[in-house]
Amino acid sequence: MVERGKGIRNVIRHSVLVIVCLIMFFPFLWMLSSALKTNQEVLAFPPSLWPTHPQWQNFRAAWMAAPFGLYLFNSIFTAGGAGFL
Amino acid sequence: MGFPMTRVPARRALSMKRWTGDPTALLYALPALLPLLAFWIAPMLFVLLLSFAQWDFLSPIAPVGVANYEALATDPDFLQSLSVTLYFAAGSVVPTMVGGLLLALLLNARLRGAAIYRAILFSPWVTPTVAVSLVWSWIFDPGRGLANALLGVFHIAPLAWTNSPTLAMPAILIVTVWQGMGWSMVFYLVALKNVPSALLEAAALDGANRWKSFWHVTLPKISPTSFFLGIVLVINSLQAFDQIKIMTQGGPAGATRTLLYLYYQDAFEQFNIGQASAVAIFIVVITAVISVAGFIYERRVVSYD
Repeated sequence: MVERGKGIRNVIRHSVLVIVCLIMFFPFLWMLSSALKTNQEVLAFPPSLWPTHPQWQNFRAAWMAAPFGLYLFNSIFTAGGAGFL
Repeated sequence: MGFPMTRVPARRALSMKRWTGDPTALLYALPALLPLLAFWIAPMLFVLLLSFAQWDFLSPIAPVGVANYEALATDPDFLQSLSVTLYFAAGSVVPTMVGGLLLALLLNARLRGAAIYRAILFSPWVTPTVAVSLVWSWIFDPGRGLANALLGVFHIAPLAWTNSPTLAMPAILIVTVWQGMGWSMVFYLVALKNVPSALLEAAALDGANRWKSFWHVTLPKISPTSFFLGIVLVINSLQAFDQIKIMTQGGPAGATRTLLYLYYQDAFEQFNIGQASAVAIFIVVITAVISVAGFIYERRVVSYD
């Protein structure tokens, strides 16, 4: 009887946690989903949860659009410097 | 973070009268004191001076006495930003603490996958505020945002969110609480682990139900953590900038212009450095008052034993 009550309670706990985690994590998924959309799809209303044709080349285009190597170095240099000091 | 978890005898810690050490001690402290003086004390004194002057970064600094402070007292933007700051502080600190505690209570059991839940709930804290604010500003977009699409599913008319003077602040509060909840959860998890189980068992033996033992045993036992989170979150809320800059730029009609954002606008949009410095001094003063008031309150309410 006690064991059973504990089991049910754990199921409730897990389901609440899964729902909360989904809500909390959703903005990140939304960021990823938007990263894979075409401009048209980003502006579509109502928005689609996941793009029909994921635009993986968006990442390539973004990488080429700015000197990311330099930015990466700047970040590491600042973080490293601050950490060291 | 070097937060004192044990009570320091304040009278001894603060007294300088008994210091009779030889001057070479000062020499040894110099490497630590110099950067402190150069990068903290000196700029603060400079800002204090600037608050009594007029300056636009270019022309010479002209002393104007207390005119900046007088102008603040009658500036409607300043008075509005005071209430906006209060709104933001109350609306972000309380839900962040309560939400963090609820999450910690949920996770405070032998649970499979607890580490995964913890990592996910903590992840908003480690992502840059600027980046997540951008994502949230898409979500709250009045025209094509996800928030309005979701409301549409329930046949609720789209809301103006960041374009509306009444809903802009709730939108920013949601982002802020979303980011901070996992962080306060981690602190509460540690605090809950440190509640002696013997006390909880004793309470149960004495016939206390779960709610009673939470209210009378757990809550007082984790009060040092609550106190620490309260102080840090209030100070954080006074320093909030990124999400406001990205999502609303203090608008609409100053509805999300906190004291710090007013300072930024005065200094780097209006180039009214004197006025901005007066705001900065005001922020420093209220931060100090809150900290001191907090520590006085702590002696009366927080239990460390």
